[in-house]
Amino acid sequence: MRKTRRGLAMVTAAAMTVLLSACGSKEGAPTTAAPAGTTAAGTETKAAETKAPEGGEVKAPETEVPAGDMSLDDLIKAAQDEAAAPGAGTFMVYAPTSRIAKALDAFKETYGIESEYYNESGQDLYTKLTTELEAGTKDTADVVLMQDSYLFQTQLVNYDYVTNYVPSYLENDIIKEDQNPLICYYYNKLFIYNNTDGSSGITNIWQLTEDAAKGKIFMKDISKESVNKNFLAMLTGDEWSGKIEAAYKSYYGKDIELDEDCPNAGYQFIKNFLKNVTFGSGDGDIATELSNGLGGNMGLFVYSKLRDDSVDQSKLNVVAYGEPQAEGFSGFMYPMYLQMVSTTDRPYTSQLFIYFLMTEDGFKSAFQTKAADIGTYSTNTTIAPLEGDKELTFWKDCLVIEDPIYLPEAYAGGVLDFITYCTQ
Amino acid sequence: MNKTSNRVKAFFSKPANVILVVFALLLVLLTLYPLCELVHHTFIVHATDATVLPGLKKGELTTASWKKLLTTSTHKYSWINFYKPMVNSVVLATLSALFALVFGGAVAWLVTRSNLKAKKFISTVFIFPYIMPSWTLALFWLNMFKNPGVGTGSPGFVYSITGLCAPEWFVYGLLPMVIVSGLHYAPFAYIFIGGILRNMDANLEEAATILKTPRWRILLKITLPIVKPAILSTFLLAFASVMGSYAVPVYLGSPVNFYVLTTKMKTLQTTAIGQAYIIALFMVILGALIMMANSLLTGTRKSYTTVTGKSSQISLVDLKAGNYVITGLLCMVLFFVCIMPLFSFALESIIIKAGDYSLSNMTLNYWFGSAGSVSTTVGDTGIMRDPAIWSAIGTSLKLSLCCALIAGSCGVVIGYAVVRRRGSKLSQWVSGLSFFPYLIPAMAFGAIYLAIASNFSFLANSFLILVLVGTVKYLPFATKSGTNAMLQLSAEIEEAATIFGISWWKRMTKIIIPIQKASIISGFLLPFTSCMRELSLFVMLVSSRTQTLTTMLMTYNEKGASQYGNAINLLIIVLVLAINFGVNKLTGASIDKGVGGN
Repeated sequence: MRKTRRGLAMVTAAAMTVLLSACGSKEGAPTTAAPAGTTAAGTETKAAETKAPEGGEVKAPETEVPAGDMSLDDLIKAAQDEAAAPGAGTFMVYAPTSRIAKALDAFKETYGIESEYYNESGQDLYTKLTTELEAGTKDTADVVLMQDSYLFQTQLVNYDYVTNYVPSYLENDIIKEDQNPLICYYYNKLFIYNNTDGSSGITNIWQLTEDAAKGKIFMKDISKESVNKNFLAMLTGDEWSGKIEAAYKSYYGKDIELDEDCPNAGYQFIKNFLKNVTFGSGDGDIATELSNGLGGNMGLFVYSKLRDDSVDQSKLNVVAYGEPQAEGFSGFMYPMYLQMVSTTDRPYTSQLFIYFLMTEDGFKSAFQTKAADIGTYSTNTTIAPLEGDKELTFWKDCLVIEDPIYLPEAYAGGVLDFITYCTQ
Repeated sequence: MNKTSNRVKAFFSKPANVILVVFALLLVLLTLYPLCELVHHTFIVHATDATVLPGLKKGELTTASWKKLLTTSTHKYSWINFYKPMVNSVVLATLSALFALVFGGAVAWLVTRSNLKAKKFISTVFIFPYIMPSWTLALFWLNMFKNPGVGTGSPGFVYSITGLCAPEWFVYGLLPMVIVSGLHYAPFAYIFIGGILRNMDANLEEAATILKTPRWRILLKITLPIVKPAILSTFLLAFASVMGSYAVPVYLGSPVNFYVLTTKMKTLQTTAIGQAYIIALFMVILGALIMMANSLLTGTRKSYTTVTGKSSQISLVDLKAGNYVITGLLCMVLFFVCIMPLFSFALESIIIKAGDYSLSNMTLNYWFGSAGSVSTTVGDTGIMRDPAIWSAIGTSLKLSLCCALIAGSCGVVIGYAVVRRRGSKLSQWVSGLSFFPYLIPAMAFGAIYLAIASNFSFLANSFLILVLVGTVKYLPFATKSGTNAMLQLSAEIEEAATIFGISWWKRMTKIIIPIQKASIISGFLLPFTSCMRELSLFVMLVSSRTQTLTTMLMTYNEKGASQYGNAINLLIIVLVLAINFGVNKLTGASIDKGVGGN
């Protein structure tokens, strides 16, 4: 028996040694692995330095200045050479949507370069990416398409994991303010209501907080999708709380009185609004259910669901198209950032792919393949919205847009604790 | 010195000892290491934590996450994010496990020990709910009972047919969650308890009958004690499973603000991952407490040898007049929860606009349509024409087969060694360790293995990592059924062979495994089935080359392409059933045969 115990001790000791060395290698390794094949002048990528930034400091993404004299043909050639080089790793793209597969197919068709992708729509995408980057995994992403400005800023940009690249060939077509960090496209979620009882929607967002709306407002569980949390958090900023306060005054004809736990009108709105909200499991379900459900119900979900086969469009109206538009806002919009991973070993391919996705052909190959693909807006101004949809500028006017600078501030200030408190 | 080496030699001359030492080593690496990592992560400042915990930098060690989660009173933070979900989780897991036990155990007894009718049918369909991904049963519940009185007010099946409105507490919240989770895990009880009931030596009961012991006393004093280990391990498995389940609470709990630890963990993952790991740790601790209680109750001295070399003839209890009533009721319930969902998946996968069941609203395009025949946000062809689906089918099957074969074989061997060296510290250690992976929530388990895989380039994004994580995670099923099988097997059978000088390998393959084939096969089929419908475990480890059916299913469900979702769901169930059928034809054994179907 004593032998058994001693044997066990030895076993454990041996295992612990392995364990410790594993830990050691993990901590020692991060990101010092310089990418191979990035020696060409001008396009050399900076090896990522993962120094943590000071406290709440907010960083701007590193800007990659493309070689001024590199023509598009040269870039294509360089990318194809990279792919043909012996030992070239996989060109990998991480994205929150499986549609990226189509873009990769089109990319292959156009330039003959093979690639792979990983798609997951939530936090797992960030966890996977950052874990792999910290460990210096070879086959991790070369290009990322990311949603959720808060996570993008605090998990990638602040640690220089990504590098901004704006293809010079399209510089004049892409909206200036969306170039740093480069936003590929926007996605919107709109207030949409069931009109079967003759409802005409809302004229002011404060109507959503009244007792009559209790249990009649539906959005995806904020625990399932973080852009929904970001939307609420944005309302507490100066810009939106100001607008919300003004909307209150014009609706009730008096100044707003704030509860003790609400520092501004944005908080007060969240508090009253969430009391009326029922969380659903997904935007698709909400859209389908809403069209089958009772008149007057209001949903907040992605616009493109409206064109889904399973949704009866005629029963649903979009608040943003109301005359006049609801005072306050009509939903929210979030950007999809398109970035090069700083440690990529395929820099030219990455740049070419980013260029491709910003062109009309590239964008349409994945995100506007059919008439139903409304609600996706390229920042390339030469790409028109689909028929029946509006221009990006229209939406920027009436929707709450994520701000990667304000969001970390708001979360640091505990806004999420407040939101969670309000959902109880 | 010589004496020591002789002792070591003697120790390792017994195959059981070699097995235990090897697995002790492996399990420390594969389960204790992830657990240590989990603890470690609760003290690290991650990128997300750095924002919400002012003054700290990424990578530092801190107790701030613990303080924040456990002791913050502002906005009732700790109560909302930790204590209340914890209470909810414990209540939900306990009630669901009890429900699974009572329902599954009762059916197992009826099938193996009574002259119930339609055993074949009951036996076959009873495991269906386990084959379906758990959230699909939740969705089915909603499709059945939703009505104008709750939620969006869209009409469900029951309302459309009868006009009856179920109250909100029946549609959402604790009650439906207990029923759905309980139904989902009742097959555990059915398989484990049924396996023992079928194989137990009838002599004990016959002896009692001869002594004129009343039927209920036989049940209470003989049958129940014999199945006690199975009851306890079923409770543990079901408890831990429900504890770690995420989808059911999201569908049935969140709409009425009923949060459990997993839903909170998922929320905190994006904003304070350190706190998410603490919640994961508490889930492990709760599971471990149940496990300790389990081993205390089972004890180490009691013997449950039920299969001896002697013949045994099971006498069936005559249900008399009750037979048809019970059979009828049971078949109705099973039809409702096991067969109806299949019809509903099939139906929902061919209708275009939800809720409209007229022929003009039906199409097979979601299955077989060519490009452009379908308009959804995720795809425009039928799934059977999508090469990605075919590749996912291949991956899922290959993965589940690998995991089942490896875990199943290990389970048999571990079970054998643990039982032969019963009472020794090493044996307890191995049997405890082999259960640990099951207590770590799949989400956290996946995250930890991702971190491990990232350090080894041959593991990252590979198929191998999926096999590894699936095998380790489902080893407990295999070990439990292996141990249960071996516990019933009297050592004298093997001893007889040993006396004749028959080698260990031959003893295993010619005597032990054939006798307990039924239990052992279920030890293979459970990991297989679980793997086929597992999602959270694999979600971070797959790449575009290794997409499984469930990760595709999730994509479709997330994007609201419910027809595709339902189609894939049906595909998974049909595949698992086909494999079960194939195994049955080839080996003459199957999950349900282990229990009683003929």
